[in-house]
Order: sequence, then structure tokens, then C-alpha cells
Amino acid sequence: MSADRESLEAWLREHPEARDDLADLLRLRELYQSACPPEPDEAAWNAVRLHLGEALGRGRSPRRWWALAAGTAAAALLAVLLMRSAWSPFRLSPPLQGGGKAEGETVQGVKRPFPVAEPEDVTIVSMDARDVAALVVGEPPVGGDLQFARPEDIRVIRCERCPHSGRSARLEQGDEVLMFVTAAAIAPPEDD
Amino acid sequence: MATLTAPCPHSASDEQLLACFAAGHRQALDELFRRYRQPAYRVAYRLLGHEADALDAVQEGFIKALTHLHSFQGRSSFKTWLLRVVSNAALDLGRQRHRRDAVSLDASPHKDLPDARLLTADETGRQLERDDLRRQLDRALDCLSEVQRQTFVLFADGGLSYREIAEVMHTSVGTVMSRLFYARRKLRNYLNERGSL
Repeated sequence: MSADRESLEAWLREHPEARDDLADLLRLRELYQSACPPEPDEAAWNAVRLHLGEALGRGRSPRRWWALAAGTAAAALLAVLLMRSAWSPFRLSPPLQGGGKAEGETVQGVKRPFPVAEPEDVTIVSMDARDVAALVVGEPPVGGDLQFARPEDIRVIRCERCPHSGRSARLEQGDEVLMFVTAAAIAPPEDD
Repeated sequence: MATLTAPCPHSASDEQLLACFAAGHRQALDELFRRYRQPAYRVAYRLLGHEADALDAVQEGFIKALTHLHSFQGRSSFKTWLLRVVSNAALDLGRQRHRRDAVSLDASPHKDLPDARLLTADETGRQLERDDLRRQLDRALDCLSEVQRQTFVLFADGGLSYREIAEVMHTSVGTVMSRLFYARRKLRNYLNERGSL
């Protein structure tokens, strides 16, 4: 006799009035078990089993788990390198002291920039005027002290229509600096 | 948990099958599914009243139970663990979809009948009576609160003991007994009023 059954029997000895209730509960259970729900057909079971295998196969394959972990680690390392390369030219660009060449040096003794993007890969669609001071334009590596142009240093000679989009632009005075505004942005709303 | 390198035999214990499953043996999943799909389905069906919903709950329950084996830790049997997850998945699904009335929404109320041409008149009559009784019993479950329904279904269709139900529902054996007492009384009243018994 299991421990559960023993404890139940002991409880029933203390509460004999509950015997009828228990007997009725067991009859009710038998009734429910005799009228069990209709079973799905084998095709329905097979479909569930198939989905089960796919779902569990995706989540628990050790090889895939390690592949995911390795991928995550590689992505994290790449992110760190990208951040370093994006911010380090200011500190690393001066020629290194000494004759030896460390790993990653160019022949001029300057750290080779990590290739993030080529100039033609970058298109600045818009930016806040307050961020203009943070914009670095030039060929990397940028050496020496950076000097930013002031608004009065810039003179717009000519604005041409963009050969790709066909949009034209015009120069407007922003809150702090001059801003180029595209024709699409300054076009008046169309009448319905 | 034991580890096995040989293919898992059908006679392997649940613990051995789980170890096989963890080691990547597909047959272990087949065997676990074959062993427990029926009680899992019956519990889910009683809680949802609809075959497709019940199959969804079974599928979700198996996935959750096997992907969260670290929470299982062998403190109870795998069946208990599985029925816990399946019944919770069924209740969640039922809340989302509202427990469907299996009788009123069934396009064919006797769709689980075998082909009538293959049955004698007596067999057909008995099948219809069983089918009607099942629908009455399913309807009676609707008069129970959610915890009473889950408790009773785990007891009647899941075949779990008081202690196992208490583990599943994170409560005491006394509370399980109390819930079953009130569930029984409500079910009995409902079925007596309708002359189902």
C-alpha cells in the first residue's frame, strides 16, 4: 500500500462520514473515464509529433547551441572592435615611438584603421544641427588635432539637383547653422 | 540523470528516456510522446472542449516540458510534470480563445463515431448514448471554477493522485481534497438535475 493510500485510509478512519463522499468521487471518476474524449486520428498525432520534433530540434541541438554561442561571441568581439576603430583614431593616430612595428601597424607606424565603411557606403540623410560639431568628414586615419569648420567658413557656390533622386535642395538658415533642405521637405502640401 | 549511449529501448524508464532525449536520441522523444500523448490530450480536451485546441495545448505542453527540464529536476514523475505544463497551457489557451462549447460548435455532434455502416444497431445506440453522456459531462465541467476544473480533470482524466495534483498546483493535499469535494458536489448536482445519472 502506498504512503498516499495509507495516509488517506488513516484520514478516513478519523472522518468516517467522508467515506460516502470518496466513494461517490471515485464513481464520478469512473464515469468520466468511461466517456473519454474522442481520440484524434493518427494523421493529427503525426502532425503534432512532426511540429514537436522541429520545435525541439531547433532549440536543443548541442551543435546549434554552440554555433549560436560562438556567433554571439564573435558578434560581441566585432562590436568592440568597431567601437574601438570608430573612436580610437584620435588617440592612436600619432606615430608610435620606437623602431619596432606592433601588430596592426602600417609602415608609417600608424595604426591601420578598422574598415567600417567606405565613404561611398555612407549617405547622411539628415541630422540634427546640434550634432554637426560631432560630424567628422575626411579620409581616415585622421591625424593631429581636428579643426571644425565654422558656419562663416563655408560658402555655398552652387546647389545641384541630385542625379539619383532628382530632388533639388536649397540652403536655409537653421537655429545655429546653415542647413540644406531638400525640395521634398520644403514642397508645399498638395491640395486634395 | 543517467546517461545512455545505446539506443533507448521501448522498455526504458522515463528517466532513461529523458537522458536519451538530452543526448539527442530521436527515438526517446517518440517513445515519450507515445506514452503520454493520450493522458495529456484527455486533460487538455476536458479543459478546452475542442480537439484542435487540445492538440495545440498538447504540442505546446510537450515543447515547454522538454525545453524546461532543468525546472523539472526529477522531483516528481515526468507524467506529473508534463500534465502540469499541459494543463496550464490549456488554461492559458482557453483564456485566450474562451473555452469553446464542444457541443454547440461541433459541426457534427457525432463526428467521433465510427462509420455507422460498420456498426450494428445496438452498437450504434450505445455509441450515441456514450457520446451524449460525454457531452453532458463536458458541459457539467463548465459549472466548476477554473481551479476546481483543473483539479478534477487532473484527478479523473490525468489519473493523478492527491499528492501529485498538489505538486502540480503548488498547494496542499488538504486543499486538493477540498477542491475535489466541492467539484464532486457541483458535478453531481448538475448531472442529477439533468437526469444524466
